[in-house]
Amino acid sequence: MSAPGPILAMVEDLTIAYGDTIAVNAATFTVSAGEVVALLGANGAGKTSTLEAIEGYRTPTSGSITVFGQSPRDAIGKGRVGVQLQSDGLAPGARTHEVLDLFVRLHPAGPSAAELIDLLGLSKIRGTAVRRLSGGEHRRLAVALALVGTPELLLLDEPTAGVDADGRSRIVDVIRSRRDDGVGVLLTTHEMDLVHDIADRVIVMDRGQVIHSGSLDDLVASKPRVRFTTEPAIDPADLATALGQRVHRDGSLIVVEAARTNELIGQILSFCDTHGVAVGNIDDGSRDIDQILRGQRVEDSERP
Amino acid sequence: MKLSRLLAYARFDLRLLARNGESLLLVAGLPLLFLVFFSSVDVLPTGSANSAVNVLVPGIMTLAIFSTGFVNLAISTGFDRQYGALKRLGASPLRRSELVAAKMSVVGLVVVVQVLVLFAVGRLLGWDGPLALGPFAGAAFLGLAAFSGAGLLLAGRLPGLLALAAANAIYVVLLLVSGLLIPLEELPGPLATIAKILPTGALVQLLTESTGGPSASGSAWAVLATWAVVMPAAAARLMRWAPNS
Repeated sequence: MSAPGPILAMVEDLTIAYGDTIAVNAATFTVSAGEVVALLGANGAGKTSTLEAIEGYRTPTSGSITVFGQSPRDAIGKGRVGVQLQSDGLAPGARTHEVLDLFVRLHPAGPSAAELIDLLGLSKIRGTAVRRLSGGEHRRLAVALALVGTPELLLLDEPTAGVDADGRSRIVDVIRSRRDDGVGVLLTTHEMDLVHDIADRVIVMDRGQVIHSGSLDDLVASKPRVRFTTEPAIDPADLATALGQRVHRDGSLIVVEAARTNELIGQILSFCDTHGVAVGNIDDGSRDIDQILRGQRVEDSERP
Repeated sequence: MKLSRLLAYARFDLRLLARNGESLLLVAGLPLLFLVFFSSVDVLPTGSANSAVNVLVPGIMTLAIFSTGFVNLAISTGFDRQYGALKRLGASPLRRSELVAAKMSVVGLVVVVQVLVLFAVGRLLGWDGPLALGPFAGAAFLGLAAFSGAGLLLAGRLPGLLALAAANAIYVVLLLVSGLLIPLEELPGPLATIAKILPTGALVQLLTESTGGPSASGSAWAVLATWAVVMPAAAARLMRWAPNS
């Protein structure tokens, strides 16, 4: 990937509250031309609220959003932003090509409906009513709609959710191709393979806050930890107190959120020995993004 | 406002309407049913000077424009908005004013067909009034603008089910108190006064006058024109693409 271009979307101190619930809390980040940014986080982390605010559907409680230096609605009205909604909202009685035809006609320029049908592999369902499409076909059509016109920024909410291998491959190729053409892409996903495949940068949200913004490599490197098993099981909170570190359980593993040092290993072994617990499979091998995201949701009781 | 976008959406909407027109058939069919029924069964206070059908035709025409322009549009657009169709459109260059104009155009085509059918059936039932086509068409156009603007405003601000309930409640109330079935002069004084400043009351007076009935009050054109300007403008400005947006 070449260096990202100018900033297309700027989110500054964005806060969105629904009554007493803060969905997004002082989020700040940018999306530039020629980069794919993945907005990650567990369900309820604030990703969709953030995306909807950038689309102009949510009014910020505080903070600001500019897209191409304008309000989001103005930028979308000029056809500069391609949007794929999580719930696609397509008329059930309309046929695939009719939906695409409509949106192509609403934009001043860009690919034809036939070109988009070909690009996303929709030719077999060209004449199929929306109500008869599978979930994956719906999603492909929704992504095709985001590509209508000549968008300079793509906002994609889980673009590959429920899509089969062929569809996923097409969508990934299209996103890469657009990115290489200088289009900025902001997407949300729970599919970590997709993040590994196409994201140049990740923004991780947890309970409404941005807790990481940077490359995927930076994210993995920023989270050193030691993992091991015990027999019998121990309470992570007890070990957290003894070590003065964050500790949580990940399946059968105990995870200590700290860099591996001889001193730390000694403390762990000493703790287990004192409690009559056998230790096995200590490792600090590479951890994937999925594990990091799961690790963000450590219960308060497991913190020191 | 860009005409090509307006026409693109109107064409799409008309195609879907033709494909899934069951609800429209019900709404559009009710006025026809009322015309036939109340012309045949003498249960309404239609006065003694005219035959029932002469009194009913302008009222039923108003009812048709009101049902299709307001009730049908409010309900269908409310559900469009509920399942995200308007939100999807909102992510395109289509302006709210273009959406409003396109939906009004489609409803206008439906109303033209309805009015022609009602005229034909009215003649068959014995309606023998003259027709001042210019005033009739002008008043019908203003009425359509007022009702469809109000329907879109309702749909663009309320959740789908609430829009449905509100549209039906308004329909029933106005059916009874604004001269659609019961002539304005038969209503109690204060109610008749209120009815005259409602778009339904103004329209029924103007259609009555243009089909050979008594003259409308002097303010009827002004009242209807005001509603016809304010309601679509309010819809274009105030409707929301998505609930909670």
